[in-house]
Amino acid sequence: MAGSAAYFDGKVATGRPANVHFSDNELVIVCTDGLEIRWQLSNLRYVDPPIDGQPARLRNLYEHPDRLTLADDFDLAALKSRCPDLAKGHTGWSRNWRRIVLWSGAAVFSVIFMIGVAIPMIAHEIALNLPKTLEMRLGAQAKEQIITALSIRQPTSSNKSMVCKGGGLDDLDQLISTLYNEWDVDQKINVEVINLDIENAFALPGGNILVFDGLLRNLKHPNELAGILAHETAHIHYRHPTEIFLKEIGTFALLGLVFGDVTGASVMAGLGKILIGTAYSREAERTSDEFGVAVMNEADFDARPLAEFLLRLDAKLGDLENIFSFVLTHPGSKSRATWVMKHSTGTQPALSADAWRKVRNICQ
Amino acid sequence: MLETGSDENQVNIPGPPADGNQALIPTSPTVQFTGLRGPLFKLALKNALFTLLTLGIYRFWAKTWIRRYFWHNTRIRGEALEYTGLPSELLIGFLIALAILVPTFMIYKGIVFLLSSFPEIPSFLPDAVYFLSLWALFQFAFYRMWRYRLSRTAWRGIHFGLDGSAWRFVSVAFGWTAVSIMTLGLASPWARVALWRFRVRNTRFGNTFFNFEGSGKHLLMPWLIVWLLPLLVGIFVVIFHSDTILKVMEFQNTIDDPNALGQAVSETVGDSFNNVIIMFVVIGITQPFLRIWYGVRQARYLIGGTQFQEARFQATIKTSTIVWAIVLYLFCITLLIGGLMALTMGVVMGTMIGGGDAGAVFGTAFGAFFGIIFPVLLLILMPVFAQIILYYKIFKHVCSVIEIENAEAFDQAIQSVQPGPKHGEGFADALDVGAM
Repeated sequence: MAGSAAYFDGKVATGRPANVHFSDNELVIVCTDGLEIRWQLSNLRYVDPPIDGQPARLRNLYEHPDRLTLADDFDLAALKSRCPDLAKGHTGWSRNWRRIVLWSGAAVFSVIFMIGVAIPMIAHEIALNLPKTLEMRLGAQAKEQIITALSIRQPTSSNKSMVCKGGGLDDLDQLISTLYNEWDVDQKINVEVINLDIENAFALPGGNILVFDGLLRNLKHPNELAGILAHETAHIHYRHPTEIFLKEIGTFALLGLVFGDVTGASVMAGLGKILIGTAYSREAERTSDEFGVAVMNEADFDARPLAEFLLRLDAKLGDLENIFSFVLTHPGSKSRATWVMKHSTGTQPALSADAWRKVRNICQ
Repeated sequence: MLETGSDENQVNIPGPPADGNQALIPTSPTVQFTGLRGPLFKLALKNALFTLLTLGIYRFWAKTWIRRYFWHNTRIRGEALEYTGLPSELLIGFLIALAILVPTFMIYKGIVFLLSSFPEIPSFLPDAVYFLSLWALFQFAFYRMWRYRLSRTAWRGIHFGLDGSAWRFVSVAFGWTAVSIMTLGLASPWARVALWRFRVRNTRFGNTFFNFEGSGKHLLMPWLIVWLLPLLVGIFVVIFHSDTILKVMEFQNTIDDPNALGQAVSETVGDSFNNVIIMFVVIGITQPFLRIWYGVRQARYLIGGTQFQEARFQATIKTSTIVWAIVLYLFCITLLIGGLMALTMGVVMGTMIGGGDAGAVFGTAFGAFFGIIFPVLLLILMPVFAQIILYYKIFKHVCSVIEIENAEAFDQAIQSVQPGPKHGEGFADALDVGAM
């Protein structure tokens, strides 16, 4: 005899005291009321991994509802030696794999559909209809986080303020309002120069344009700056920053759900970093180029220096220093440069030599 | 040690064969929790690590193993509960939620967002509709989650179950929540009792249903203490200090600088204003404790009114034990965060000051390194702390104070033929309804 146990038949919550013994390759459970149950030794499994000081429980494969709880006197060593699969777990894969494959496919399709189609579409619609106040708030938040994220990668001397307040700001504002007046941009534009050695400028939701000192240092002609600003103003006019911002929030919120971040906290915290690595679509760039050059032409500013700037940056592509450069987030520089060359009709410089010197020294 | 619940109930196993001569062994306590911190800690740590390494996908396995541990260590009349749920079931539930519910709700949210920008529609309306539907889904997921967990819980081979429509539960919850809000929270005890009654009366062991007898009025007195105190203080402040509040508001409108504002307030209405502040601080400190105290009273009452045939339940849960568990947990978390921060700061500052240029480089590198490690460590250790301190202590305490009178009523339960839900918690997982 292997020992005594309590047998639960899986039909009623009343157990039967039983004596248990081995016979050939079977476990024979003889209940005191005469019922005799035979379980194949190879089918025996622990209900749960056994815990010291607690009665072990056995079952007959996964599907059968009856259970056997072993008493303290049970010869566990004998049981273990006869049942090699005793500790084998039940994962349910064999029973569930079809549904897992099916629903994984559906889930993957769903996520791809959301990221590729639904979220961009909804983001576009919302961006065009978003209340101004909300857009301004999103922009302010994004601006702060982007500056923080960038400044960590590139520390500057701490005694200087991050946002430059040099005398050239007035001239810059003057330039913006000239461009602004040439076209019906339905949003107040606010330009800030950031004291970081990054050769870039970008537009943010709510009419914000960030220009980095690194860009100002590397420009050769005032019309390069005017062209870039006109281009960024066009992005703002078409609500491209807001759209891309909403698209990224939606995408990352969705991915957060996949990986178990329900609150979306990680999305909001990493917003700045998300936006840095994002590029506009070629179509968005093309429409903004058209708008920007049209504005330049209207103001009679020569836009050809912008083309030269694009070509210059195109040559630098691949340089790790310029990982956030204008080129990288603005694809197809060469063809864009050609397009700008062809359509520029303006003749005048955007800033006087004096104003241009002051603008370039905003951060000095 | 083992009770079988048969006619030979007194004949406990182990013992000599059932020839009627065996010695009587004292019956084990009705409910007993045999879990230990050590093994639970190992399990929780392993779960947290794997969950992190798999970017969260392991959480279905983690949840299953943790539940299995708690169930397996909960012994009712000597026989442990059994958790029969499988990780793959939770995974399927999650995949279904991902495939259907998440896109539906994201698109829905997008449309609601769009609607809110139309001037013809009152701006609060789309948000209210969205919030309401999310709330309804939350309640729905909550009920489905209970259905899954009960269907995967067995005792003596007999499964528990939860019947009743989840949408019906949502409508009952909606009605009672509306009443609670309209009465400024006064009806809250009735709402809680009604929802508990709905759940308990739909809960079965085998084919036999549980029952609940009780009314919210028995919880009214403790609830009034929690509920009235802030209300009375509010009324008191309005009546006796209204001039103070008005003056402060006036200052706020005219003075922008916070320092000047503080000075102006303290000069003109200093004492009176301080009294108001002190009262609010006192409320802020006492409310959490009062809430826990009320929660315990409520749990006792709800368990006390639950019935299973002739079986009656009682749980003399102690407020002090619950408060202690929560305080200890918060203390350990604070210590953990504080310790990690102090360690980082200490090493960084130490090397920077002591080591010259090389030290500064090392200090910066260590700081940056810890900037990454720090949140990861927190992510791993927070759930571990919650499981080994908070859940463990509370679960153990509740098990130790539960008493079941006429527990033999359970012996007669017969296995139900109704199958449980095929897959697991789905949106409840996505919404994180209930941590364990």
